[in-house]
Amino acid sequence: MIRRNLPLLAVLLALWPLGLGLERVLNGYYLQIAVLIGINIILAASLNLINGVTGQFSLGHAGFLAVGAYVSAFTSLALGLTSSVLLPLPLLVGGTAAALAGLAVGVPTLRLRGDYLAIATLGFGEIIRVIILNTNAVGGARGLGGIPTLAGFGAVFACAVLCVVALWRLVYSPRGSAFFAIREDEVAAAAMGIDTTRHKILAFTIGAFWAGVAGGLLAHFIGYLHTNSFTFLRSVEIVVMVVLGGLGSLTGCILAAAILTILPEALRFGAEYRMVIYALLLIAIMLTRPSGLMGGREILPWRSWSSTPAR
Amino acid sequence: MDQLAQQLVNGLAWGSIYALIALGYTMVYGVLRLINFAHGDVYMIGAMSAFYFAHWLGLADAPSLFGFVVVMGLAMLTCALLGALIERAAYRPLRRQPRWAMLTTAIGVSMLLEYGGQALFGPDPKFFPQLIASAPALRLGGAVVTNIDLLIFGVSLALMLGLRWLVYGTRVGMALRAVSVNVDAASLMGINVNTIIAMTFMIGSALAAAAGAMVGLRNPKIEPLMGLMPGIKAFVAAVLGGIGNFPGAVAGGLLMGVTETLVAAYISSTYRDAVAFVILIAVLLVRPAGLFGTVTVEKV
Amino acid sequence: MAFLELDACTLSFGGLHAVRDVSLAVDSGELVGLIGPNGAGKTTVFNLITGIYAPDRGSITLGGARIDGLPPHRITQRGIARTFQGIRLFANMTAYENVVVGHSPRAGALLDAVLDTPRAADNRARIADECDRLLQLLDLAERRDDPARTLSYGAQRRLEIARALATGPKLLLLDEPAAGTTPHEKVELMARIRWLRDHFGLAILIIEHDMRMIMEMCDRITVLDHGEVIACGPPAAVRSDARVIEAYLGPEQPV
Repeated sequence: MIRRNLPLLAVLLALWPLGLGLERVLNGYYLQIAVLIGINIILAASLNLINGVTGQFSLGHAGFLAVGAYVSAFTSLALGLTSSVLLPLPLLVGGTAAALAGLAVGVPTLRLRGDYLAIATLGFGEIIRVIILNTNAVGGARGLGGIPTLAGFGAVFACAVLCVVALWRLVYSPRGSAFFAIREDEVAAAAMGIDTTRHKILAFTIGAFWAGVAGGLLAHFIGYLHTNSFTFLRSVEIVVMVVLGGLGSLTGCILAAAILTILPEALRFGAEYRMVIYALLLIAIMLTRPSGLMGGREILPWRSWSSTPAR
Repeated sequence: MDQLAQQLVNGLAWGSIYALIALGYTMVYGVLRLINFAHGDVYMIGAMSAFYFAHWLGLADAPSLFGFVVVMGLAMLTCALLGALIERAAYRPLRRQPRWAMLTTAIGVSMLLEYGGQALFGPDPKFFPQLIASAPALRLGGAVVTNIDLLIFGVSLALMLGLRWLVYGTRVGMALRAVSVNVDAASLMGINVNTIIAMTFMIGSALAAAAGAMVGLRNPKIEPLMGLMPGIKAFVAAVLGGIGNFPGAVAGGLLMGVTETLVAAYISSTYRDAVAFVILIAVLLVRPAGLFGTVTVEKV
Repeated sequence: MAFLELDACTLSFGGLHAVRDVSLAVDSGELVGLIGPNGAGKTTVFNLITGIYAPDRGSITLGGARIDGLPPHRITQRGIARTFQGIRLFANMTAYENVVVGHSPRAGALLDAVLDTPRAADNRARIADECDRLLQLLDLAERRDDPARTLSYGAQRRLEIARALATGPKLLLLDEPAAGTTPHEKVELMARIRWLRDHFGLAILIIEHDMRMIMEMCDRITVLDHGEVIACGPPAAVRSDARVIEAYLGPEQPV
C-alpha cells in the first residue's frame, strides 16, 4: 500500500519546499490568489461529490466551510498552537466538526427531493452562520482574530492534492460507482443493491469534511474570520464552480475553480464594471457550453473503473 | 398586548410584500421548474425605477395617491419588459438543457442586476420620495394601521385577486396552467408555450415591481442589494407553501412576514434571518412538499 | 417449500386493489412465466417482490425467510435482481460502468479504494474481468465504452439483464425483456435467457406478451387478470383454461 502511494507522498513532500520557495519569490498579492485557488479547488471538488456525482443539490456548502473555519481556529487558539507542523491537528478537528454538521444536516434533509433539498441546505447554511454570529466565544459579530497564520501555499496545495486524489479514487472505484448510479436513477440504483440513503449521507459527510478542512486552511491563512465571508452567496459561488466545470467532472471543477478565482482579479481594469463583466461572462459561458466546460467528462481519458485498470 | 397587535400589523405588511414576490417565484417555477434567482433583483429594479419615474415626472415633490399609482404602474411595466427580456435572452436558449445550466445563468443574471445596479445607480442608498405621507389611518385593538399599510394590503389583495382571475378565469390562464402541468402536451394542444412562459415572467416581474414600489413608501432606504434577502425569503415562503401553489405562496409569505417580525421584536433581531429557515426546515420535515404541496410518487 | 413464495399478497392504492390474494411460487432453477392482459398487475407483483411496495396483507419468502417489508437494496443483496419494463439504465454511464454498478455493494470497503490498497486493486481487477465476461455473454462487448443512452433498444434491454446479473442473483425477474425488439432479436433473446438460466443455475420469473414464446420456453405459467391469479400450471393446461381464454378474448359471444 505504501509503495502504491509513493508518487502521491513524493508530490506532497515536494510541495513543502516549493511552497517555501514561492512564498519568497511571489509577491503577497499573487500568493494570496494562488492560495485562494487551492482552497476553492477543495471546496469545488468536495461539493462536486454531493451535487455533481451523487446528484443531490446542496446550497449550504458555505455553512460547512464556516464550521470548519471557526472550529479549527478555536482549536488553535485554545491550544496555543504556534508551529505549522501541528497544523494538521486543527484541520482534522475542523474537518471532523464539519463532517458531523454534514451528518446532522444530511440525515433529516436527504429525503427531500431536488429544489426542496437545495433550499433546506441553504437554510441550514444560514442557520449555522447566524448561530456563529451569536456565539461570543468565537467573537460573534466582531469576528475572530489573532488566529496563528500557520497555513501557506504548501499546506493548502498539499490538502488540495490529497482531497482531489481521495475523491478521484473514491468515485472512480467500483465501490464508488454507486454515487454516480444514484444521480442517474435512484430506483435502479436501489435495485442494484445500493443503499441509496446511506450513500447520500456518506457523500454529504465526506463533502462537508473537506469543506471543513478548506475552512481550517482559510482561517490559518488569513488569520481573521467574520461570518460575512460565509453567506449563502459563498455557497452559490461554489455551486457555480461545479456547474461551470461540468457536474460530475473533478478536473472540470478544478479548472472552473481556478478560472473563477482569477477572473475577478483579471478584470480589475474594468473598475466598477468588473463584476458586471464577470456576470456577463458567466452567462455567456453557460449559454455557449450548457453542460459546463467539461460536460461531465474528465480531462484525463481514463477512469480507474471504466477501462482496464492499471495494475 | 398593544405591542403584539402592532407587531402583527407590521408582520402582515411585510408578509404581503413577501407574498407578492413569492407569487413570481411560484409562477416561474410552475412553468420552468427554475429557481429564478434574479427575481429578488427584479424587485429591486421595481423600487429603483419607481424612484426614477417619481423624479422624472416631478411627482416626488407633489405627493398624492394618484402620483404613486402612476409611478407604481410605470415600474410594473418596466419590470414586465425586463422580465420578458431576461427570459428571452438568458433562459429560453437553455430550456432543453440540463436544469442546472439555467439555474447558473439565473445566478449570473442576478449578479448582473446587482452589480449593474451598483454601477448604474451607485452603491449608496437612495431615499425614496414620500409620495404618500405616512399617517395613522385606523386603530385596531391598540395597533395603529397607517395609510401606507392599508395601501399595501389593498394593492396586494387587488393584485392577488387579479392574478386569480387571470389564472382561473381566462383562456390565457388555462394555457398557463396547462404549461405548468406538462409543457410538451400543452404545445401539442396548440398552445404557444413561448408566449405563455414570457407572459409568466412579465406578470411575476410586475408583481415584484409593485412590491418594490410599495416597500419604497414604507422603508424609504433603497439600494442595489436590497433584493437579496427579500428574494431568498420570498423563495423560502414559496417553498414553505408548496412551490407551484399560488395560495401556498401567499400563505407562506404572510407566515414568514409575521414570524420574522415577532422574532425580531420579542427575541432578537440577529435571529430574524435564521428563523425563516428554521420554520422552513421544520415544515419540510413534516411535509416534504410544503404546506399545500402534494408529494408526487414516482411510477416504477 | 419453493424458493420464492408469495402467499395471498394484497396491495391496494386508495381503496383500489392493484393485486388481491396473489399466490405464486418459483422453484430454484425454474423458468416461470407471468402473463395477463394490460393492467392485470404483473409489474405490481414485481414491485412487491423487489420491495418497492410492501404488501398490505400476505407474505413473501425467499428460501424460507420473509422478505416482505425489506427495502429494495436488502432484497437485491439477498439474491433477487430485476429488469424494468420502461428501461432504467444509468443513461450517461457507459455499458461497462452500468455493469460495474451491479458489483458496487460487494466491491470492498470505501477506505480501501481511497487508500488504493492491494485489496482494492485485486477487487478492481476481479470486477473488471467479471463485467467484461457479462458484457460478452450478452453480446455487448463491442459497445462496452458507449454511453447506455446511445445503445439500440434491443441492446439496452440486454444491458439491463447484464447489469442485473452483476448483482449475483439467484432469482432474476425480467419485465418484458423482448418488448420493442425485432422478431429476430426476440428469438435470439429467448434462447439466451434459457442458456443463462442453465449457466448460472438461476430461477427466472418473466413477464412477456408474446404467447407463443412464453408457452414455448416456460416450465410453468401464472396468469393474472384484474389483480388476481386466474390460472397457474404448465403451458398446455394454461392454454386451454377457459378463464384464460375469456380474459384474453373477452366473454364468448353468442353466434
